[in-house]
Amino acid sequence: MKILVCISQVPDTTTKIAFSDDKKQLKTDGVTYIINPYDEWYALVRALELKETGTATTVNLVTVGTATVEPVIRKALALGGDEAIRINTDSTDPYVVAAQIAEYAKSEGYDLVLCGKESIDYNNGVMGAMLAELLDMNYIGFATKLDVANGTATVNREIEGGQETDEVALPLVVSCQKGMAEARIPNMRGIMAARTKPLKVVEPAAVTALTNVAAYEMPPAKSGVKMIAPENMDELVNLLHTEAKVI
Amino acid sequence: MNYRKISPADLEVFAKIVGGYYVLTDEEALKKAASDETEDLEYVPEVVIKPDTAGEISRVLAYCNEHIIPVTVRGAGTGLSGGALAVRGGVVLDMGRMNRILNLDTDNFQVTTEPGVITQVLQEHVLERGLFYPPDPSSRGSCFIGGNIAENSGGPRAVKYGVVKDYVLNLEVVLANGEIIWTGANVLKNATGYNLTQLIVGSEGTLGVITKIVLRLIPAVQHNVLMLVPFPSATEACRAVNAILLAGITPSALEFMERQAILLTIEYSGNTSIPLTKDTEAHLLIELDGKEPNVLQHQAEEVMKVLSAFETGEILFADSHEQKEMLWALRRKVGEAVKNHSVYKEEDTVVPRAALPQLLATVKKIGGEYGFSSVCYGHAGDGNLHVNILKGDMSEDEWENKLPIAIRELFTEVVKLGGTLSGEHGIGLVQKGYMHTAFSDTQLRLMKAIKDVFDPNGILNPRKIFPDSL
Amino acid sequence: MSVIILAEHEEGVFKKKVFEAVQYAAGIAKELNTTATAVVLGSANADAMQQLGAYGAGKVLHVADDRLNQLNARAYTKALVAAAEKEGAKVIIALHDVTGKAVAPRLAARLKAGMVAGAISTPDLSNGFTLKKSVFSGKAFSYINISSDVKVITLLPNTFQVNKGEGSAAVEALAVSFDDKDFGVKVKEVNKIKGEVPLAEAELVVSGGRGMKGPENWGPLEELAHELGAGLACSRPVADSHWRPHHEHVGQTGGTIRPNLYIAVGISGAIQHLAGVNSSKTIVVINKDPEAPFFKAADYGVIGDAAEILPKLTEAVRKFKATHN
Repeated sequence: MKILVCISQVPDTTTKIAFSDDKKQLKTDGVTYIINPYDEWYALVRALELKETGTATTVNLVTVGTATVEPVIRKALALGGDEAIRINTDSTDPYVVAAQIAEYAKSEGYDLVLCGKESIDYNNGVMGAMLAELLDMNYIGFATKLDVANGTATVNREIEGGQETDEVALPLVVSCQKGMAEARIPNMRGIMAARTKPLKVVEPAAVTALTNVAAYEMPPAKSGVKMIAPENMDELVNLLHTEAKVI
Repeated sequence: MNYRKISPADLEVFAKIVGGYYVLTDEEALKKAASDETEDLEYVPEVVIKPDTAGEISRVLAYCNEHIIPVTVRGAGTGLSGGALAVRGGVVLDMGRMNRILNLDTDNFQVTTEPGVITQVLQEHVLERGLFYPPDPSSRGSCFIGGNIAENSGGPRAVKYGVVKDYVLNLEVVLANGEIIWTGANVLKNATGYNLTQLIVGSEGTLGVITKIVLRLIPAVQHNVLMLVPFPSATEACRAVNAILLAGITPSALEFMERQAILLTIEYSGNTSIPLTKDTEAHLLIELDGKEPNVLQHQAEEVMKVLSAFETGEILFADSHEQKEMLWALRRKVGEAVKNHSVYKEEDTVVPRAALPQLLATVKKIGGEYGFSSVCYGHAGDGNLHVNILKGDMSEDEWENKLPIAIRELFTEVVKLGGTLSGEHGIGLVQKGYMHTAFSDTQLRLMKAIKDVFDPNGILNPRKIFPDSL
Repeated sequence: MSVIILAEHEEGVFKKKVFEAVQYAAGIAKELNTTATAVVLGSANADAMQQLGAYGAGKVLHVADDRLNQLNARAYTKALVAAAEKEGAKVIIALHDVTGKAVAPRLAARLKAGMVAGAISTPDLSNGFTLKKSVFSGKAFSYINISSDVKVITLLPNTFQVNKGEGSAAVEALAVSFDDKDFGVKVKEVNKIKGEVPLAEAELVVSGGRGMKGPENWGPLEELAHELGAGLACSRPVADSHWRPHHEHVGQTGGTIRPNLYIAVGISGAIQHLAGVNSSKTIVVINKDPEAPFFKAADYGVIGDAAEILPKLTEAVRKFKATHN
């Protein structure tokens, strides 16, 4: 079984977000980039587990980005994976990203495509479903458990108000979230080994963006907290009703 | 010293000074001020006063000095040597209201703050402007900067950045008689007379009450990475510490945990993400920091080169916040885990770091002789080893009477190794009985004479630092 | 040309968030001088479907194949494509929830339609077709312009107040022919979390942190949640210590929620936690520590011990309900 794991580079979770003066770009000075945690800890680690148990034969990684994302994809290779593919373009439009990955993956015979449930930068959560469509595969989103046997995957996924266990035939796209695998931390041996692992650069296909970012905006500062004395809980309930209008 | 009990008339005076709302005598308030994080000690004060200004403190102290009422200053109550406990009753001065950061001087890299600011709040405040206040005791999310100064705290970063004393430039202090002084000047160099500033740092509330603090800051460091190195031998782990430093690498943290500490923490936190193989006897946690991620990667490889001369297990490398937190959590939770596991006593031994392997061996040897087990961890890069002695199945008699003899023997060995009793927790109440193992009569008399000059009536934090015999 | 909405339902019942989506779509339709058509998949009764008219749906297209009672993204996509073709839809709306997130991106890719996921505004038509959404895990917003002819939007639930109006929508059957491949996902087992309000759709959430001191102290918190009809959540250390199940964990590595009211009890407010909750409309923080960073992100704050305050708050809610019902 061949697995493809989609990896995205994102600013570290504690990064202070700031934008350029024209509000169109993220300010990148001082930003530490990491592998999107959902891609790393759930999609990639589960893929590696499947390889370790002999279920998968190959785990490849794919990312869409310019050369600047290479340190991050090397980090992913340090956790494991056979080779990485970098598609040499950059876009904020999820369709472009999905179409580039699909264009590469369609002729490679992957049985399973894994990605995180969303990236923590654009928070779209659309990649898995778009890929499934473009690759004409089944799709399970927000999975918390994944096993494969005899060409069929058994997947637990989040549904409205609960969990569902599904059986789906491969090939399949799964977006992964917490529960899928136990978080792993890369080791130095892996980091050294990742240096010499193949990182293929693929030139992008011609795909037209369907959306573009017009501007970014910082949320307005909160108007400040209103303190209420512990003995005045009636007042709090009243404010929640009359002022905040939430109950 | 005969201290006067507090009367209703005294309370009225206090109420006039700080306002009645801030003079607390209810049971809950007194109980809350009766303990800190030191074992399970409890000393209930007679009143808790929450002042708002140095002026108020001045008037409270002048009154207490005149009427011989003991005054114990209290920060956030996270101390580990009982420094904030009112062992003679009297007044506890709760500094929680004095929590204003007064001035951030970005031209001179200085911040002026009141003592009741939480250390982490101060750190984040200065970081907003690209500045860095490095000392980071484990309790930094709750402890007060004033308490940090009174106890001369350290933390993991001391190996690279030093401890609290290295950042204090000048202090506003209220003396026992109510006079308010500044101890120095807001300058980086100062060769002007005796160094009163450093005399107050680490004086544990026995010389005066700190009301304003001027700290030196450094430019913020933007990136860091963390390595976790398992060793099959604890002694080898200690040796590796020196080898790393000798190679010209100065990690921003260099922490040691022995197997028992790791096991207890894993059990306590239920965190199974970090593998602990059978033959692992100790971990070193190595943090590297700097301006460029690439440089850090390179440094990590240099560390690897040094470590190749040692037998190690699989070395983990974390560079995202979440991963680093997972590793740090293992180290930060040791204290909690030990507390949860058994009654214990914590020693804060410190030796010149090359002597760390001998110190560890000594701890285990004495433990063997006296029949106690210990959990050791700490700031290996500073030679600062926290020794948690577990009560386990020791009898009360052994715990109360035999253990102090063992601890005295340990401290004697520590001093022989060129070390001393406390690296960062202070002497306070629980270590004062061992001061003779570190100091001669002459040394102690000098200290006592200083105390008498600052506080002739002995009202400030009585029964601390000095052995009862003095 | 028209606007269509995927009006999802659970065993024939439409939730408030669906009314919100219908109303949202109707608003956009009005701007574009057209009508909104709701698409209902699977078994549902006519009454409930007609009701969607009260929220602005001009018509309901019903694909009454009962194989659609379970979510199969391929089949749903096919049905929506058929509906879009029939209506000449230029804008397709779904909710930004489990169903919408599985279907809408698939549909967008099929139709080569630009998509905005998790929109929190109506489109600004003054210069293109621009929608606002939250990015960087709640730390910023972006305005995204869709340039394609057909546009797909998933709407973040609880963004707009829902107002029921008059009217009833005509229900029209739509026949779509499916094949086996469309139902590739076979459901083996469903475990609904019973008796609790599912967190993701809770409008009110009560959440506990380490300051609760132990799992044995959750009683008063549960009582408050019960009295409010709120969902229960917790912070990461609480889930990590196994005081509460992990599905209650909200924060950057847990679930992200956006309720109208988030009451945080004994949670200090680390930035990772805030990332999961700070787009809640109103935040109440109850904490003993007046310096808890969460107060800075709060709308209302109470300093004090949870054990004392919670019963008082629950009592106040009880009193309020008695006088307002």
